[in-house]
Amino acid sequence: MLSKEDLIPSRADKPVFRLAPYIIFIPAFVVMAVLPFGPVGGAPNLFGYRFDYVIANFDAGLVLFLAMGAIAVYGIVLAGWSSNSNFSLLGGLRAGAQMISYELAMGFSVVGVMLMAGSLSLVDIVNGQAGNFWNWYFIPQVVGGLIFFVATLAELNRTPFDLAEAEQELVAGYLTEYSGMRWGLFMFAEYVNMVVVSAIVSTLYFGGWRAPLTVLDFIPGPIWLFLKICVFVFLYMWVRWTIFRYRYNQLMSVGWKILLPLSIVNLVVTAIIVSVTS
Amino acid sequence: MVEKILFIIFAVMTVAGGVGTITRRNVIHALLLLVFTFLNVAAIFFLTQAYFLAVIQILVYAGAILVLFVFVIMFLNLRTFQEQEQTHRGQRWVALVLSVLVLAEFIIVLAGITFVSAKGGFTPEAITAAGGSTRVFSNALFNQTLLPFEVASVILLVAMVGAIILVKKEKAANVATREWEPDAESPAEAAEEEV
Repeated sequence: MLSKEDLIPSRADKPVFRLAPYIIFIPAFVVMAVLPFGPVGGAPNLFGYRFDYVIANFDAGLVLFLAMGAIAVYGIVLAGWSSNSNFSLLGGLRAGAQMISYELAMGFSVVGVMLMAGSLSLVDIVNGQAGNFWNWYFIPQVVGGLIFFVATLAELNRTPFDLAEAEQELVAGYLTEYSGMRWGLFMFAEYVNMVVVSAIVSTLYFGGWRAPLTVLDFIPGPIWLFLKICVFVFLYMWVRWTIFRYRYNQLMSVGWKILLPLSIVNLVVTAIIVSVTS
Repeated sequence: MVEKILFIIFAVMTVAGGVGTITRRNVIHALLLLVFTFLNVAAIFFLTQAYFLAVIQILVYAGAILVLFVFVIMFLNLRTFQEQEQTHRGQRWVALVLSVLVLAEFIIVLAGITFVSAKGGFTPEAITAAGGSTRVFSNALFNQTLLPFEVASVILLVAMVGAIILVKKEKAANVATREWEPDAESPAEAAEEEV
């Protein structure tokens, strides 16, 4: 793909056209910085030094994930706008509206986990799910987890929410005018995003790097996280090959009329239960 | 020392982004430079270890608010704006005088403040001991400044309700005066309504 010809439409907005792939590519990797893939803190474990299985352990990691999702919207919207093509523009607008709508439901559904863990740090959220698999948050937060999963499908522009690309109507949506490695960067970013989001789902709701049973703790954390990521990537692909694409108004009504109210109800119920039990 | 160098880099980029924002004729370029400015401000917040504030800066300003700006500009398609002649030549001098006045005002006000009270006990060590910047920030927000916070949110709510009412009136007037054409609505307009 690197050796293929890279075409830029003559009426395109060249600086923005060149910039857009990077805008979508970089946030995908930034999120990885706050993702714990093993135990953090404790005794020295590597040649007398302490090696933390997280790059940046700061106490707003989950919000960083949401913020990077918000930045990634620019990549698609600007790619659509700068190509100076109707297909691209429509694809970009659809993607932008869709991602902004589903971000709300996603944000609200995540707050349930924040409340239960009492922290915004992904490290603390994993620590809050210590023990066997029935301590994981997907049991008390089953509604929130489902909403989060559906919202991430929309955030990733995967089928059934891939209206931004909808090849039957829009050629390839915001990607129409891209070729060569710039197109490759978009595709790469999409799949990296899928892995990152799978990691986030398993961290928030499925215990992150923790083993399902404490008996199995002898297998290191990164392997467990990797297995969970594989399961969710499989799930995303499964959904993609199984479910039809939504029509645009259906997509919006699912987002605003079902997921958003449901996530707010989930938040209120969780808040009541957490405040009563603590 | 490293922090100082990084601060200077980010500060210079912030100012450069701001200058770029007001000098571009292309609206989308100006907006992108504004996003760049906000991201640099967030980087400065990161340097001061105000992580929560930094991330919120990215999420709210660079993310939510400016995406809406980009949206509106794309819907209105202001691409031709850059080719227009500037008509109000005299405006430039008025703007210059006004901005110098505002700058002078800022300098006078800021020079009058002693920043001891603003910093207070919030050293990095104290914040870590109190359980991280998010906890400290929310304690300050919801204990000491709860009333201003609530007032601000009520004002925002009023603005939101007002915006919705304005849109509704516009629509009712359109329906009354325009004949109904089933196919006149382009997909972009339909998308706009859904938003």
